[in-house]
Amino acid sequence: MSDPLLTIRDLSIDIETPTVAAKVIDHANVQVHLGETVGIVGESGCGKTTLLKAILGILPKTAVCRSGEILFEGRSLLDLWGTEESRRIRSCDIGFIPQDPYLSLNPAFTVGRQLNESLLELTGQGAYAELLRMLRAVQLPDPEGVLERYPHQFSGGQRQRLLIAAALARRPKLLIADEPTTALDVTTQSEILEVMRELANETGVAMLFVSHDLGVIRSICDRVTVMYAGQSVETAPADALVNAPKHPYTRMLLNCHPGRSHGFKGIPGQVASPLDPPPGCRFSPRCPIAIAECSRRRPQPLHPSPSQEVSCPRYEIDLETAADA
Amino acid sequence: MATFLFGERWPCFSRLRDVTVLPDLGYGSMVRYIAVRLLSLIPSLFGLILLTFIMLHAVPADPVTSLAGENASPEQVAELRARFGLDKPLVEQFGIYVWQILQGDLGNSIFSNRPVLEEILARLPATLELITFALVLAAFVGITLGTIAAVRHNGPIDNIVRAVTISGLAIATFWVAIILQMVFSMELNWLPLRGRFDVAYPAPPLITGFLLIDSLLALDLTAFGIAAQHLAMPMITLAIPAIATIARFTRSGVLETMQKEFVDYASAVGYRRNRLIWIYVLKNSLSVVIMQLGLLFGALIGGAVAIEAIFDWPGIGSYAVNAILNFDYKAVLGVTIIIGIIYGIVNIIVDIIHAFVDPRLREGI
Repeated sequence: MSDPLLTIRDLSIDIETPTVAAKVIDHANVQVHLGETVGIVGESGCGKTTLLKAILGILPKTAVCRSGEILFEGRSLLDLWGTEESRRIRSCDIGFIPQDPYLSLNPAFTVGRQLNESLLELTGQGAYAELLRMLRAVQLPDPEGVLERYPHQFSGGQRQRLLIAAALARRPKLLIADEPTTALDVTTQSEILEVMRELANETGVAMLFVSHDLGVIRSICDRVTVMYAGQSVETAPADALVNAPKHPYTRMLLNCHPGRSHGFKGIPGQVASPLDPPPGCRFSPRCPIAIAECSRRRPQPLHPSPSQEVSCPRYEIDLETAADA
Repeated sequence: MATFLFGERWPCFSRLRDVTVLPDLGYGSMVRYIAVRLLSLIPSLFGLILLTFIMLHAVPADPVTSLAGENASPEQVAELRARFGLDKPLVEQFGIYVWQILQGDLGNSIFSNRPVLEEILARLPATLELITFALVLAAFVGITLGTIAAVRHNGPIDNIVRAVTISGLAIATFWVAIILQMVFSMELNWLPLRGRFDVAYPAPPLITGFLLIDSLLALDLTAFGIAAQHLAMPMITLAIPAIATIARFTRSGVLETMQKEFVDYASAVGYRRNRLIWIYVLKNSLSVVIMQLGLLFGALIGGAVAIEAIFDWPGIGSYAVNAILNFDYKAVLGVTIIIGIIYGIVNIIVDIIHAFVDPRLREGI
């Protein structure tokens, strides 16, 4: 495979408060290749959104990068942070679909004014025509009229379509979507996902899709990275991940899904706090097959097959037998 | 219940309430909105007149005894009293006065015996010019300072702005006025000590009553310079507390807006930072500031009273001071009414600007 479009390698980020530092991301690895859709899945608070903010350069001032790098087409985004070039990358090469369409549009400006603002860089008239084309593609009727209205005159689903159109109108190389359907009701969710899937196929854009919903991820992504408490624990093709999960956390997470044949099971314990994370593998305190070594050193990624990566030396051990033993 | 109270029992109130939400479209509905708002001024003005009238008559001072002099006989005093209509019962006096106002007559000044309205209108432009330019200056400086402070939240610039705004509010304006006079007029001799214009130079033809604008319209740059020099110190003195207020409200408004998700989104999709702050964020933060402008206008009219006296500015502030000292009650009432009307109109204008800035207000959402 060619060089990846986006590489997040060994990334660690702390959010510092006056008293403590929250270790929100701990040595995370994610890769997105050209034309590929990669999902990041994990529970709330596992660092998914922080990871996206790091790529987009909108981390709070209190965030400190302790290790690792973010490479976009070989350029280090963390080094470019705050420069004109980083802004141009975000303006032209990366499209962003935010989590909450209600809060992501400025109520004081018409939709056209604010969506155009981020497209100014591009080709002026060309970008405007492309925006109109995309508004049609996301099935908003009367695109010219839409642009003259204010955000409060749209429903949540319509706003999310607007934001998708704005993200794609810049013809980005990479599309970043942060739980784009969470704030919407279920029927709207599936419509939006359908629109995104179609447009992604049509334009061939690479996509980084973040969600806590494995079903959504599976329906839209080629590969999936599972995160737990700021660590990326497993990466695999979507089907392989769902059918043959390796990491104990992924296996237990899938068992939580009520529809699975194994029957519904929860994961005992609570998600590790980033304020005082357990040493080594952060899942070890809740892991039924953990050994003393797990909480001493952070496990190195292993490759059960060329397309899979799992950060657990004991991924071959069966959970049931371990629990019974 | 609410419908019963506001919708049926007082239909006029419900209509008022509906229309006080600014209409979105069309010239006609805007005219209707302004007309309704102007009409709603009438009850407030009536209350204002009633209150001032009662307060003036509750004070144990009598314009007639001072006017008649110490040696006047009781008959002479009674005759003067009758001439001004002060011998009639209070209710009747009030009725006569309101009837006069409805005919556009504010009565005659007891001392100059000239129509109060005429005297006020002659002095009003000077005060309006002073207040308007002070408010424009204050808005410009205050919004800039407040925004910079918010962007550099908790940094050294923020701390300086905070210290300056607090002292700007705490400082006594008459003291600032005198210090400015000592430095810029008496020491440096840059600016004239008092007055509104140079008596030796012909004044520009009266068009708007604002000397700065009239001199520009007459293409007389010398006159413009003279007017600007005279305006500078009273304007700055009047603007200082207003700058402090506006800067504080802008700072907190911008800080609040910066927390909003749409700012993160805009930043993530590559807005230029300067445009992000000075257009995208600022427009959202100005609601509170614009409401403050209306209130500040009222406060500045009050502040102008002292400042006009210090700088010998021929406006209605100094006129009001003289009227109160002489107990010229018709003049006091007249000033009160005119300021009330101006204040009401300014607040209508503020509401219109407000709806212009916040589109949601146009639909009452």
